Amino acid sequence: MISCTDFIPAYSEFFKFLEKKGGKKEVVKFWEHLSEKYLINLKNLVKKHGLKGCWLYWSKALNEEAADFVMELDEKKGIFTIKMKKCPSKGRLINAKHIKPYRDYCEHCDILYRRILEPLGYEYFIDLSRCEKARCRTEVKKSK
Amino acid sequence: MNKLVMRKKAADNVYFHPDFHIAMNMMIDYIEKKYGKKAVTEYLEQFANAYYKPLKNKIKKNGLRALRSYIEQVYKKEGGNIKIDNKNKIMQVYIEKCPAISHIKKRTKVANSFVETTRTIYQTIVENTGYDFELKKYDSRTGKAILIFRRKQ
Repeated sequence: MISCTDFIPAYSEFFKFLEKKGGKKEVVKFWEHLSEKYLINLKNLVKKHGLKGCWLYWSKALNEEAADFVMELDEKKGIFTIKMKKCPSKGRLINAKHIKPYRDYCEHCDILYRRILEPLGYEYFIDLSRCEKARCRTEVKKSK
Repeated sequence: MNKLVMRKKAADNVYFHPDFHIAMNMMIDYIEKKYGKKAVTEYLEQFANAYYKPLKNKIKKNGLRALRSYIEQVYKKEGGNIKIDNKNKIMQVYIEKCPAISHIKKRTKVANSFVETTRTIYQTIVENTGYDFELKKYDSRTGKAILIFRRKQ
């Protein structure tokens, strides 16, 4: 067993392994696969509760991952946002000085969640421009 | 229609997200089905050589005490029941059941090569440290296992 607290570096190394096997497209294929198979909870919660499903899903995940964040759900405006001040995943990879994170590590968040939320009728936006500092901003809103 | 706000600092919670065991299992299953069993061990060797380098160095310097401390800390965090006997340059670790397998089974089937997250990982961790590793017993349904680490002659 690899401890779940050691998962993030295993995940990052997995992307490097896949890229060696078949280039970036192999990494993207895996992210698509993981989105479909792993994010069933998010899909079911959003189907059942609408935008509040995002709130319910990330309330559990971000607290278990001990993230530093501000999360907001404005049901009147139909917007859900996460302002990530220190991403626990990228933060761990940056802090572990003896390993180098996979170059495009943060892109997995874009593909994994977009593939769940867009088919359910939501717009998904993630700003990864500060991801090298383990910061990002996610916004989900109902498609017009 | 409510507005909800949640503000959290990293220090507000303990880092423990057991669903990562499910994601790990999916990775092992994916790689095995797509590239074969050998690729599972190749990947785990790559990961262990990179990530556990500081632990390997501690084992070289301090022997099995370093590994014992690491294993105890992992199973304490995961809530797993283990017993460790350490004598005559041999360390035996008795794992009652694997916390990862227990969690994975709540949602999905355990990957055929999941055992490699124990066998390949520990083999790689002790490689070139002066110790050998043997996975003496392993029950793939529960993860109940006996791990043996021996000082090389």
